Amino acid sequence: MSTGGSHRWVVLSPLSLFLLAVLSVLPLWVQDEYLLQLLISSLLLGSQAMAFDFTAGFINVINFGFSAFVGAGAYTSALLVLHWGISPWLGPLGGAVASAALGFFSGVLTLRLQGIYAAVMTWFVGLTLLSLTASLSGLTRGYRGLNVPLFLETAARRPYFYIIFGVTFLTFVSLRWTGSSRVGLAFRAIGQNLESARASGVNPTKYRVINFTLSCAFAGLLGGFYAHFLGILTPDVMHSRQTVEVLALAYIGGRGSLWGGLVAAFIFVPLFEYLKPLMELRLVIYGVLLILVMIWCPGGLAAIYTQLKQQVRWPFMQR
Amino acid sequence: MLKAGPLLTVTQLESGYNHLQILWDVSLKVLKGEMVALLGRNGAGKTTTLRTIAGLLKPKAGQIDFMDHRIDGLPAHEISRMRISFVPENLHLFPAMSVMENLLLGAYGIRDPGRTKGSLAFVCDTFPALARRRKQLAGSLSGGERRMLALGRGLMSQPELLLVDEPSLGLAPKMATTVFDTLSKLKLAGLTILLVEQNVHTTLQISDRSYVLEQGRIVMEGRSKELMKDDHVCKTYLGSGDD
Ligand SMILES: Nc1ncnc2c1ncn2[C@@H]1O[C@H](COP(=O)(O)OP(=O)(O)O)[C@@H](O)[C@H]1O
Ligand SMILES: [Mg+2]
Repeated sequence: MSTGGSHRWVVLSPLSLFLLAVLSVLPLWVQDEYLLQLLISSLLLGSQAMAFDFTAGFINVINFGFSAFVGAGAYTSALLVLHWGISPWLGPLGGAVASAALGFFSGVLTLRLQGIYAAVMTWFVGLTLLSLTASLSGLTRGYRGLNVPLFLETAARRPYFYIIFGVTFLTFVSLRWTGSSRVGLAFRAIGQNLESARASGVNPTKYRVINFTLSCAFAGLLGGFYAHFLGILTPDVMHSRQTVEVLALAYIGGRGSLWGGLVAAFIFVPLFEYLKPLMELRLVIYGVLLILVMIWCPGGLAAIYTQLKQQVRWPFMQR
Repeated sequence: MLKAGPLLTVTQLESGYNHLQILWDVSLKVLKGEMVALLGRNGAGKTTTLRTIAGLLKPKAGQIDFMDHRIDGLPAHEISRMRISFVPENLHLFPAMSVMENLLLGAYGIRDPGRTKGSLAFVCDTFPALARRRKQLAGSLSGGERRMLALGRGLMSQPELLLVDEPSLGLAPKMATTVFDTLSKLKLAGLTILLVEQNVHTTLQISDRSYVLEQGRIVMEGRSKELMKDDHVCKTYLGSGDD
């Protein structure tokens, strides 16, 4: 009997490969720069939702400081490029390392605690990072904003789409692969039943810290790409408002699915953009949606998809 | 069968939850190859005893020795790697994982894929129903199948000692019989078992020795066959009221 290692190779389902393929050729038809910009924003937020879900949906720890780790990666990358003359293509890697290190230390400090206390501590870490960034204005220029060198000279959006698409793809595949590996099994065990995980020989603190560090590494990487795409950074990128948006996308998409958050981003980012008057009420609407999801469909879009799939296959599966 | 020295020795154990002490001066021994039962009413502290041995609760005082190691105070994941398996009463499966993944987690402490394969073959042999449902989510199993899965997961680490908490709870009588038969077979195969059960009658029949726990203290111990004839046991646990 296979020990389940087989789906380590089949990381992506045919459907997700198909959707990714469609997405990758979309810019060939879409000429409108504004629309391309929307697609890029969806990718950026969606990939953040995936990195967030890697912690929330797997080890069941909510990282309320998530955006601060994204911001830490963004600032690190920008400053490395500005002061050390590193290429913007390498900057995000520096951002990933910095956020991973920050994630590791906050993880060691907070993840011994039970769920809600750990969550509060991550929020605290986020606030601290935000106020540090704002107050170290000699380095970061604080709220005056830091001008960041872009990846490319061009103002055209299409090349950027492919850059961000590439990093989204990388994020998705890496998180998916880790999630279905032996280590991922331990993550999910901790998230689903802490006591049984311990009794099965899983060291909860160790695996929580590994998970948290990985998630923060991707947050930092994505932050770096965000910085050199946008061209300007203010401490607001680290605000918990941003975390709430990422959290909402991840939860609406379906906790533990990874891909759900990406799909949700492609629904809600364009939606709010086209319903401009609602933009201001974004967080309120996300809040209401979150409540609805928690009451009616705790598994989010991913669970709806699973249900549909079962119903479609049902007639052929009769024994 | 040859009986060696004690595999597990619990000495004057005191344990509980935060400031609430539940166990007082609990001492017990389990010899290699034995099936020992821990009996007592609801709330007597049976689960607390097992959870403390498994390292899920930190003892307040006393000593727990397993083979040649002192294990009290060690974290649960280390105790599990020393080959003590705990099969909890309220099942504690991983509901959103497949049967196979639940089983693999039971062997998480084993880093040898060859041995894991061996365990898997053994568990699938013992519980054919699990093999058939290996891709199904644990949360979608029936009560009896969940019990099998909990036991199967406990066996995956090839334990020396199996701590089993109320394996027949909530099962139909036929299913309960299957569970007791399985435990007896495992014992015959050489596994050492510390069993907590409400079904006192059957438990006294299949176990070698028993301890009776009342309000967190051991009030009686002896050969199960003799306890069956004991007045106090008959009145309290085997009485006409039945429990
Ligand atoms: N998590 C807990 N927190 C506080 N008290 C508990 C907890 N679990 C059990 N208890 C108490 O400990 C006592 C013994 O419980 P337990 O060991 O579960 O008994 P048994 O398994 O023999 O039915 C009971 O009085 C119960 O109320
Ligand atoms: Mg109990």
